[in-house]
Amino acid sequence: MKRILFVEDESAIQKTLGESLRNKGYEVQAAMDGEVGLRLAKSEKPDLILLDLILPKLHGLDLLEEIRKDKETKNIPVIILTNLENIGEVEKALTLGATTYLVKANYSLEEVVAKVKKAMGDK
Amino acid sequence: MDFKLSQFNIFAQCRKYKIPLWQCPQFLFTVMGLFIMISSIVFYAIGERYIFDPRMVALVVILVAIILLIIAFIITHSFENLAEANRMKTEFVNIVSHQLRAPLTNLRWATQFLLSKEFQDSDQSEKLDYFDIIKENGNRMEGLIDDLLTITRLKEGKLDSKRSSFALEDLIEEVMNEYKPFFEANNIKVDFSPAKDLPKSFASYPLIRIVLENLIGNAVNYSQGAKKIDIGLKCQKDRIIFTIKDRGMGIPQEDQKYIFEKFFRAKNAVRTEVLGTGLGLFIVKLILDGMNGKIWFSSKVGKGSVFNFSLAIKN
Repeated sequence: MKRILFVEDESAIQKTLGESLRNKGYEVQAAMDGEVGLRLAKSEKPDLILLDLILPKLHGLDLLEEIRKDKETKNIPVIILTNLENIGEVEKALTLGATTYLVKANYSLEEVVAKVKKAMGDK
Repeated sequence: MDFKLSQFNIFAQCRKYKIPLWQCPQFLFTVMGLFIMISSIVFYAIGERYIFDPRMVALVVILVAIILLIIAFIITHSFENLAEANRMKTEFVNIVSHQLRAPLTNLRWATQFLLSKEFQDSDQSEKLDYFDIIKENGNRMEGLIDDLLTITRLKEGKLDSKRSSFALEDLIEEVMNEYKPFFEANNIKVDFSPAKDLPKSFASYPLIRIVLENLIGNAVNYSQGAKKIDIGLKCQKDRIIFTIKDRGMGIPQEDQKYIFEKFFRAKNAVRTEVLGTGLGLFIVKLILDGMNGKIWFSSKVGKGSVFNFSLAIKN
């Protein structure tokens, strides 16, 4: 079973998107803040990370930078899932090696699940 | 660019920007133009009379140049202020959009999940969780819009800020009665012990009510299982001092300097999922600043917070 690390501080989003992904057969591990997210990314080495940007304790972009610095985690695909759409954040995330940058408000739940499946190479 | 006659009405233009006349670029340009014309005439007259005394001519030129420089400086400054106000407004709209998007996404996704094929076979109790998400995020959006409207109305002076003298202890009792079901739902006992023979406060009754609702609401929301809140009221010199003490989560030291800023929420409040818009204390400070009031607090993580404000008394 493919594993996803979902770093998101909104419990409602954790519940809806997390459950949708579990229903599609993925194992979803939740992290409610940036520090826990980074720790789990390093210890669990998931197949994909879904990452919010505004997070308690550690900003999503700093977390992404840390993941990319580490030899063991640098190749994990990361999907940024946020409501921030300033060009500065988008550019920085893509420069740091984010696979995709998704603005939550612009996508339905189904569309986000489809993007995750595509990033995992599943149909 | 369309030109309308109303554009030449300087006073109307300045009123539109909602800034005082002496900060309004159009008005200042007109003053500068008039000053240049008048000073040219005066300079001509003085030049005619003191033509044989170049020192006098030089002195007048220097004085005119200084006055023109001062006016030019004020004009530049007023343009900077307008540009800054514009930048802040754009930033404010960006933040508000982001703040509204979060609950809106939660609402949409919870609804989409409830309607999804996979979810149809789920049991009733699981469904209720998603209805709770919808209800909670609807309330969150409503709270945010209410707070934003309060701020806009306060800034435009559209809320009743007329001061009158009233007994603050009566207003506190009134708010406490209104909040009784809220206290009971959170299993919190609120103890109110005002000093005796307090003088009347002199402030806006409806605005101070908003202050009390916010401070009392915060004390309950951030109590996190603590069972007691104390409210005190005393008179010190010519001020009446309100105090509210909770025994909840407290505010981390590094967050304390930001708590009166717009949309700021302490890290531990976000972490423990206490709902809030990040606008309550900003509104409280805005109101108290406008009433010549003062607000201060002390707080310790895990021990709780004490918020105080003072108001002028009726002389």
